[in-house]
Amino acid sequence: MVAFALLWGIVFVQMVTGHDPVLGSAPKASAAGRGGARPRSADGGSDGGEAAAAAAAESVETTTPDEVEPEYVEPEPVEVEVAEPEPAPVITGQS
Amino acid sequence: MHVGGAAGGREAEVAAAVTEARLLDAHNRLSRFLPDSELCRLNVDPRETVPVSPLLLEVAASARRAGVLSEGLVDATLLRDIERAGYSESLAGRDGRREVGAIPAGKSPRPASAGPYRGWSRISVDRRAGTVTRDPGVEIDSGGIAKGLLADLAANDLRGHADYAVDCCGDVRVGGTSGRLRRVLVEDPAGGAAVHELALRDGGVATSGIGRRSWIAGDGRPGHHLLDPSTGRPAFTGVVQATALAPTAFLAEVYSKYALLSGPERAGERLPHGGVLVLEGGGVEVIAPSGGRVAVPVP
Repeated sequence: MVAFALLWGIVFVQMVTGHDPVLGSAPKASAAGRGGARPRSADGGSDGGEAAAAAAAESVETTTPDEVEPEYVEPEPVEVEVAEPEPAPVITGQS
Repeated sequence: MHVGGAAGGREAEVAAAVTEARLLDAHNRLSRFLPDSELCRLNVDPRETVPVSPLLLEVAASARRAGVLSEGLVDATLLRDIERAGYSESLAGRDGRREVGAIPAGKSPRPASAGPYRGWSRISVDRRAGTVTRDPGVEIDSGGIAKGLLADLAANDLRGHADYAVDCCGDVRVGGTSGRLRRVLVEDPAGGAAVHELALRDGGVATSGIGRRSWIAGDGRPGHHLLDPSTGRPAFTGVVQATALAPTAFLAEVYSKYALLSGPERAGERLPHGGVLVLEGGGVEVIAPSGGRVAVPVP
């Protein structure tokens, strides 16, 4: 009975501090869904929800409107080199 | 006249019009056929020393220089002789080749030589005083020296343009800041297609010949305007046309006459910057600046 009570107490503390194995898996799945595949942590993915959420937030690529539609830059006029016609020939002759 | 510039056609057109107007004014002042011209007034002025305009001063100085450069063959003081030979009124607009029927030819061609009087050596100019001094009786004929001189003066006005070509009745000065080559076609004295083509970036080219300004004299003999100073009569040397290249149009004009009057054997030596000769019989020779001569097929 005492052992049962101790065991339950540990479970209760775990639940109170947020280490609920069921609740803790939700943020992890969400981050993967938005950020795409993410390398698993070295400890096999058993890290907490906050760390996962923070990591997910870092991996999300945000796009600003400026990047979607870059500022329009007026193209500079390009001087097209037009080949000048050769000088008109002249005639030398008796006056 | 051709004037081109990077600034566009309008500026070039204005420059060409201004230069043409100045050339026309210069013609009116230097013509020996206009009694009121400044040249005619100088020639009849009894004073030994006469104040003249800067333009006429240049012409007088050029008359002397032409004589020096050509060892007396290009003599711009043979006014009375050329009038006696039949050239006493303007031939502008006339082509003697049509009237004579062909390029005039002499019976026994021989090189011309300097005259005994050498009137050109009796002219002096004082640039500071703006006066011309000449011996009594010495008269200047601008016909053989002024076209090249005027082309050079016009070129000086146009030197800031990209390209220009000043054509004073066949005496041409070309140049421009672009430094581009301009083709120069050498006219056939018989009236056919060009006998040769030259290319010039900056400089003068002039042609002298005995075809266009020719006539049948009172004695029935053919005449033309290039005189042998030693006889005062039209020269028949065996060269019917000479084209000269030179740094300036004035020099080209002097060299072309010098070459023609020297005859076929020495004509090449008279073209230090190269040129083209057309000989009696129709032969064409191209003279390289180095002095080499190349006969070219007649087109």
